[in-house]
Parts: sequence; structure tokens; C-alpha cells
Amino acid sequence: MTLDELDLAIIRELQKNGRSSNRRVADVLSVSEGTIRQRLAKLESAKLMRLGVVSDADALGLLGGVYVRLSTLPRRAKEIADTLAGYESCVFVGLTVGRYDIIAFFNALTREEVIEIVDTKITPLSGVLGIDVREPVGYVKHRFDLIHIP
Amino acid sequence: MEQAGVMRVMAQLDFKALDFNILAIVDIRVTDRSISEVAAELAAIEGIGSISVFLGDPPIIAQVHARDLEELRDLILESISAVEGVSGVETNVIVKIGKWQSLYGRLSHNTESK
Repeated sequence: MTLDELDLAIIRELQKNGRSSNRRVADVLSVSEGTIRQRLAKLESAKLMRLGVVSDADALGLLGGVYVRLSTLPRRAKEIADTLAGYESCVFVGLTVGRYDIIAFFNALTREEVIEIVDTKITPLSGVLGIDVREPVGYVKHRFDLIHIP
Repeated sequence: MEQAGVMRVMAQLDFKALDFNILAIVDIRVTDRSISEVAAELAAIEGIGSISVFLGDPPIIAQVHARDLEELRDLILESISAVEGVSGVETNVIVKIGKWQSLYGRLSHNTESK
């Protein structure tokens, strides 16, 4: 399914404010409310878009998080990635090929929390051979409008 | 909390909505130029979804989105590599995304949404 100009315009409106009513979006774009409703249903059922809540990391005092990059026994990589995905603090996990087998990102409030995650939730996993933790000291760009909808 | 900019309800897109079929986590090394200058210049490149800066090696890790391998090639070999100060690029292509949420952002000084 490809998005047309109207789909993109609706998405732009809802990126500015996810609480806009269908009526308001319809008025802004000069189409009927029914059209908006129908387009949104289509986008959501195709798992292309959803309304999410994004919280401000600074206001919450979030450390931000850390990249965790793992070397694993190749045959265990998928299972380990699934385990990491099950952790609430894990916001991203992907299988990769090359220098690492898995790259993940964990959110954490404090460094102590990072240590706990690495030491109690990752190190003990069978098949993990190496753990490389990188803590960002700055974020220059971050498209938090992009997600993976399972 | 919404008025104070602490949280925001917004439309979030799946990668496939933008036809981003390829995701890579790219390490970027820098020589002879300040890391923040290089990072700021990289931020203007469409296709780079996020840029984090580190103390250590690599100094920059970027998330790169591309529609296909040709586009990834151009992003790496032409756009990113052309930035002055970039002295090395190591691309880790993600072959399967297990999870990707965007629960947090810096709402006050980043409204990046294409």
C-alpha cells in the first residue's frame, strides 16, 4: 500500500497534534470527516501509523539510554534478541551481520540502572560472548515519529 | 503535562509507511574537525533518522534509513562520506528489527518529523 498526498497531509496534521479531532483535520484539509475516518482506519489496519505518546526525556530526568552491541553464538542470536525485546527498558533490538550479531538500545534513568540491566539481564544469557555498551553524551537528531509496528 | 511539553500525543509511522526497507546503524569516525560540527552537518542529511554523540570511539553513531541498497550505498558513500571531517564509516545493516519503540524524545528542542 502506498501513501498518497492526502494520507501524508493527514499524518502531518496528527504529528503536529495527535489529539486533533477528525472534524478539525477535515476542515484544515478541506475534505469530509468521513474521508478522514476512512483514511485513518486504513492506515491503522495496515499498521502504517498509530497514535503514540512521546515523553520528554529531559523533563523526566532520563539519562537517555545506552546502545548495547552484542557478539553472540550465531545460532543463539535470534533467541537472545527475542529475550531482549521482552525487556521493558529495551526500546530497540535488531539482528545484524558483521562485527556484531545484535544491536539494541536500552532506556535508563541512571547509570546504576544500566549496570543492572547489563549485569543481570544480558550477561547471564547463554550464548552472549561479548557486550559493548555505549552511552551517548549528546543527541543531535532523533526522529521519534518513526517506529516499528509489530 | 502536554501543555508543559512534558508529553505529546502524536502520529507515529511504521518504517514501511515511508518505504524505509533498510535500517543500518552506522559508526562514524571523525578526524581534523570538531565532532559537534560534523554531527550538525550530518543532521541535515535526509535518511539519517538519529545521531548520537559519544566520548570515545566511534564519536558518532547514526541510524540510517533507506528504501533499498542503492539508496543506502549513496547515503554512505556519497552523502555521509562527503562531509568534511568524516574519516571512517562502519555500517551495520539490521537484517531483522525485533522491536523499535519511540517513547521518549527531546520535545522542547527537537520537533524533527520530516
